[in-house]
Amino acid sequence: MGEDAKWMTQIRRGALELCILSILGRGKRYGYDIVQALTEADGLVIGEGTIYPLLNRLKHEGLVDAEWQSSPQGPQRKYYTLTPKGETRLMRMRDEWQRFATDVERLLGRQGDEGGERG
Amino acid sequence: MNREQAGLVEAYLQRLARGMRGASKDVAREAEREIRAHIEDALGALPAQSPEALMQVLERLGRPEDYGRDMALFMMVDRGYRERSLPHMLRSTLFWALTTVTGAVVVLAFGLLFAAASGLLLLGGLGLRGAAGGAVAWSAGGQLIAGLLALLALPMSARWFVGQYVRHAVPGSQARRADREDWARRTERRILVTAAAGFALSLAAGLASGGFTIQPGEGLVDLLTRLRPSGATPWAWLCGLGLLLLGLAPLIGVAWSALRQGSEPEIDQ
Repeated sequence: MGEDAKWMTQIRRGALELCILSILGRGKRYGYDIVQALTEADGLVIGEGTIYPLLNRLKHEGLVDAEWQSSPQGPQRKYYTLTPKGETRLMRMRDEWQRFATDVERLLGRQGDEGGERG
Repeated sequence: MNREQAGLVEAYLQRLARGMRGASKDVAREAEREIRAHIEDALGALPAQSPEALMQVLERLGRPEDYGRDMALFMMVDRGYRERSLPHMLRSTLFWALTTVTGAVVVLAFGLLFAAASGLLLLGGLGLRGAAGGAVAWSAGGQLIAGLLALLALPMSARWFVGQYVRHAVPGSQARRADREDWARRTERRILVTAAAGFALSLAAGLASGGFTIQPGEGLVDLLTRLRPSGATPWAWLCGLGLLLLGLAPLIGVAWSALRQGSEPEIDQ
């Protein structure tokens, strides 16, 4: 794996948890449904199966609840919902992410400007 | 789903079950049920349900051995951590070593470091010295240096191991990372305290007893038999106790942290 790919993997890994919490913040979802929502962001999920260990961890950390429910179409599905603790964590993570993204954007913009001035 | 497709799904789920070997049956069953539902959903969303379409679905899911192992490892580590269970911690360490390259390298390196530290420990703690005709005569200074090196090497290797374990074996949830790293720091401190106490005790008792002498032709087993109740002096017992504390410092440190779990403030809550 090249250095760029490694770097992207790290970024994806860090963002995935926030994205899953954010999707669940909009309402209850089941595994495949979450994967579908995640694929809206290109390249966020490489192996769809990898979200299950993460969902499992979030459940054990008390951030999400899970319950098997019948569905009118298709198989019985395990639905995940955000717990109050998960909502608090989501708000904190979202704030942190926005602050971080703004800082990085500002830094990249400044470097771009400096490059422009030099050129 | 026809028979051929059902066979492909069963083969995939068997691979998942193999990846999750070591996790509890309930967890493995639950994971299998969820992945089966995912496959049915994904297949249902496709216009044609051919074997090729199913292969695509399975390919997108990824290698079941990989995510199954992640799930199983997390469940074992989590159980050890939450239930303060040393056997589960040891089991998860073994599983980590057997299923990942990082785990194998870390556990092997720790074993070698630990063995080297234990060698120094025997020299430093017991104060071995040669009798007339023996090869080596250990002075109190030699004993002190070997003991100090052992004291340094043992907790350092344990500290490195605990750090690696927390960083790699506990899969990377960002949410509790700070909490786990705090746990690792406390554990490292406890390992060091236990090892220092053990070393001080073994050194003091070893020096007070004048050290243990290896007679020409005598092996380590012969020497250790002298720590048996029948032949041992109180100093030897104290020295043995100190050695035990020092040698088991990593396990005692982890068990100590596990027992204190819940009574200490968590920094990320």
